[in-house]
Amino acid sequence: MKKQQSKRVIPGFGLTMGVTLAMLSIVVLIPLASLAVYSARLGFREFIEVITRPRVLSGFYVSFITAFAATVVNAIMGLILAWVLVRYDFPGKRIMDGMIELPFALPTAVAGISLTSLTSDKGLVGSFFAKFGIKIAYTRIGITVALIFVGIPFVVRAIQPVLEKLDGSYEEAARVMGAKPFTVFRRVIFPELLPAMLSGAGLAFGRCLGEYGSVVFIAGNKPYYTEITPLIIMSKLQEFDYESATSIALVTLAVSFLILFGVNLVQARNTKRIRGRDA
Amino acid sequence: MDEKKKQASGPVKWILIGISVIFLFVMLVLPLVVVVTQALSKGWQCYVQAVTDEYTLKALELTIEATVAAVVCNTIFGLCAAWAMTKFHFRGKKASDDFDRYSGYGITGHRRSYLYSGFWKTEPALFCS
Repeated sequence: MKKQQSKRVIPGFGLTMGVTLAMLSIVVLIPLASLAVYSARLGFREFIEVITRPRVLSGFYVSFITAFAATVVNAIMGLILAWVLVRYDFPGKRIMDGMIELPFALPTAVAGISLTSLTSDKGLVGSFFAKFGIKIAYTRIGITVALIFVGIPFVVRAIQPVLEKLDGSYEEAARVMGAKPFTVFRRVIFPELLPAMLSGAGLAFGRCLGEYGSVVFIAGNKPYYTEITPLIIMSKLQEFDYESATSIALVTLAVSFLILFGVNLVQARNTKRIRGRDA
Repeated sequence: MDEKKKQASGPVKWILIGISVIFLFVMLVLPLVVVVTQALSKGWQCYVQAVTDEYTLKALELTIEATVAAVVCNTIFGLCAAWAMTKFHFRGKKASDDFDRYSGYGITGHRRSYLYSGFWKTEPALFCS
């Protein structure tokens, strides 16, 4: 790796850096800073009072628990999907590969409506589960389903390229040494995939925390049961209570940053362990 | 990669493919099917009428305009950012990269994947009719 040089060979550093920083500031940093500014209009005690209201707390709880559940499901299903798409040949594989990005293309509100009609008691999937006494739409399970829909491409697309580039010789070596297929997967392949899986899951989790469009329809938005944080923020905004809205948003932001920071930490440690050096 | 890597380990392969197909069918295909069938449930005429409604058309127009504008901006910005990130080394490189990737998602949820950013606005079109 070349370190910073006094004279750069490749042109355009000033220009591209300037544009990037300007856009980053306008699109990301200034809006984020405005969050802090708006929240700061409340005093510290009021801030604490706003974010510890029972309804807000239950919103945090619902948001995090459903996002976490969806992320776990997505991590596992994403791994399986990526594995199937990379390692196996079967008819319809290309279609399957293209389908992964469907949640990006379908507007989330549309997805929310159709998932709701599918999983309600009279819907195709909902009526099946209703036989076992499981209600999906208008419960936390429903929120989780919507979040799984939204988050799946992040995990699959994070794992896929890593799996494709994986050097087959380690697996062959392990097999030659007598490891069973599952052991090979667990001890050789999985550690290589874990960083990608974690970063994909981290992205999906972040996305799930802020997801609004698809969730509001399927959740039913019952306070203390299926009311998610973004909805509370939205209702505060509609009451022109910007201070409360930004305070609640700030907490969500802080927590998702903490989680992503944790994911990065785990990742860094993993890379170190695998490569034997800081990558 | 070569063909040898695509070793078929019998039942495991088909079980995993089965799981994937079921998952994708239930989670992604069925919602899409529901969208199409519900859109056409009252007949083609009704669909055309809803889509060619004055407000719907205006909303669609706005969507396309906003999408084109956003894509142009993002292409230029993305190119610059990618060039700056990959060709040079500077302090705080990793932080700015992560910041850009993560911060938008957690909080507003309005910042989609770049290309599709404009599609958010199709939603008003849905509720007009």
